[in-house]
Amino acid sequence: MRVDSSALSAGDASALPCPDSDKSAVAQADDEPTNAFSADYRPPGSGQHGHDPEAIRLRALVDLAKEGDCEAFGQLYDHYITGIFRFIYYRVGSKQLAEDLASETFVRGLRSIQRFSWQGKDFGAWLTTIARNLITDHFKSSRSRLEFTTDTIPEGRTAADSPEVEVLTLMSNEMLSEAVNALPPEQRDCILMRFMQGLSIAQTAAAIGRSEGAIKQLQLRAVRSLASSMPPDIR
Amino acid sequence: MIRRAVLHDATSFDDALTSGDLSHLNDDTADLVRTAQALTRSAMAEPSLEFRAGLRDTLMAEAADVLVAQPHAAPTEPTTITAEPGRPVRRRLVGLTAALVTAVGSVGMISSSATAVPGDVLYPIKQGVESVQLTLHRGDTARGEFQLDQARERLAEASWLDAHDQDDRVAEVLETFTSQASAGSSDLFAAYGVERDTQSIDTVNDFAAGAAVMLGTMSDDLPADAQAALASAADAITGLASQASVLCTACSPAELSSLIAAVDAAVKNSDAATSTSEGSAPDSTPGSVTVPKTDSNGSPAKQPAKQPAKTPATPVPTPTSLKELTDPLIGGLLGDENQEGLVPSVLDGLLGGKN
Repeated sequence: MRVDSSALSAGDASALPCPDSDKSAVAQADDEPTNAFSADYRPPGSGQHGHDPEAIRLRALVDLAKEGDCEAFGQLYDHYITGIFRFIYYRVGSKQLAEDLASETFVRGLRSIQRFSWQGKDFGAWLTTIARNLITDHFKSSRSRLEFTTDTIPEGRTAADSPEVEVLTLMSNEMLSEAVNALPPEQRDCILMRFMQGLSIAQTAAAIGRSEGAIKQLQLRAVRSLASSMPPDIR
Repeated sequence: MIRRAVLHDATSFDDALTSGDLSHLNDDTADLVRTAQALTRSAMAEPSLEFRAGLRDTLMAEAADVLVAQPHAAPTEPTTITAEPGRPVRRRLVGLTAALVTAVGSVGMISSSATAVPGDVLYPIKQGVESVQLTLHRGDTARGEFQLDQARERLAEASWLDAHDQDDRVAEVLETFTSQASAGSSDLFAAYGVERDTQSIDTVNDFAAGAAVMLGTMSDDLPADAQAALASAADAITGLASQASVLCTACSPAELSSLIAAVDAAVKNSDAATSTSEGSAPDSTPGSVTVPKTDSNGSPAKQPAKQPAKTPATPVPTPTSLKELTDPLIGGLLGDENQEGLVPSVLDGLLGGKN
């Protein structure tokens, strides 16, 4: 059964033929009621699993994109961009750098998607692995080290939050980034993937290359470490 | 125990995080869950709308060039659209495919190894298969017949190697042939001793006759070690024929006659080869027995019955009468002018008659 990407759109999003799609990403962003990486997504790990319709839709989109359906890739981008951006942003602490690395992540994903295999890895975990490698390469290069020293201070909130969110938010982006980056690398990546990006335990396990049981233990250790490093009033 | 407790804590923590139910947690763990929830609520950074739209446009433009239309992947799409899309289905399919390929490959490899000759990559597999097959044969008769079949196969391999100028492996193959021929015949003789079924002796006689024909077709320019192995094989065939004739005097005398002539030719050939190897003119020994060469197809150029040159110079007595057949048995047991005899030898050993 051939499925068109337009039939798999979330909400009322309609897929237009590639490359002339004029569908705005902003409009599509508004059509993401089940986006696992959207701000509404709570709690981590509740989506992307088993036989839920969203997971099935994403798998179908990946298959369509692999067959050459541009709009399917566009919808995948709409779904994953926020999570990938957050993962990078809270790691590097710079909005501009996070956007550059997120761009590179999706460009590489686009160029490699036809070689992507489902075996052993979720698509979101696969994109996260690309982003993680790009971050590692970035910090390895001398150019990026210089850049980091001048652009290492997190920029605070980047989205226009509602007053309710402002009140509920306990930690600023700056505090979050500093606290997370003070953790050992695996604990740091676990926190970034689970709580910033919103990956499930299974997706995190696939991205880090550990078992789900190991990720659960790593997650608990990481939260414990993070809690001990934060002021009591914030906790 | 500690590890199990740690895993339990980690699982409880994750369950509470997913469900939001902290009622069954202790205070410390509940605090950690609340910290994680605060983390999740705090992580609200998002890319700017301009960036999202710009990158999407860039990607869609590149996608038109990068994403090459590919044929519809029939096996994957149903699994992704239908209600059972998960990895287990794919893994099962992969597992089944791998098992099928392995099975077909194994069968094909084993089948191909049946025609392998020494030196081939598949020859060890052939030997392994034969060993397994031998263990599956129960009873002296079945084992004996199978081992003689194996010996025939070794002889065919030796003949093939000889015909294809791969003489360096002939000696080893002939030694294996001798070993298998002796083992198989021994089993059949044992079966005859128990069951008194002349079929066992006939099987040995038929085998010996066929082996003698094949040995007679081997070329006379084998290496020294192969010549020695050939002589040893011929001796073994002669011994088997003699033993068969001793055990069953009524078994197929006509075939035995043909067998003895052919075996003698083989023996003479090996003797000539030995003398040639010891002499100074290896390829011009006067009076040496000529062995019929194989033709281009590897089959014997002449039939043994039509080989006057292979008539033994010192022929083994052809058993044309009952007396001639029983004489070797009596001689072997009681002794004669050529041999000491089994009974006198045993008695001498027991009574200390010698030395």
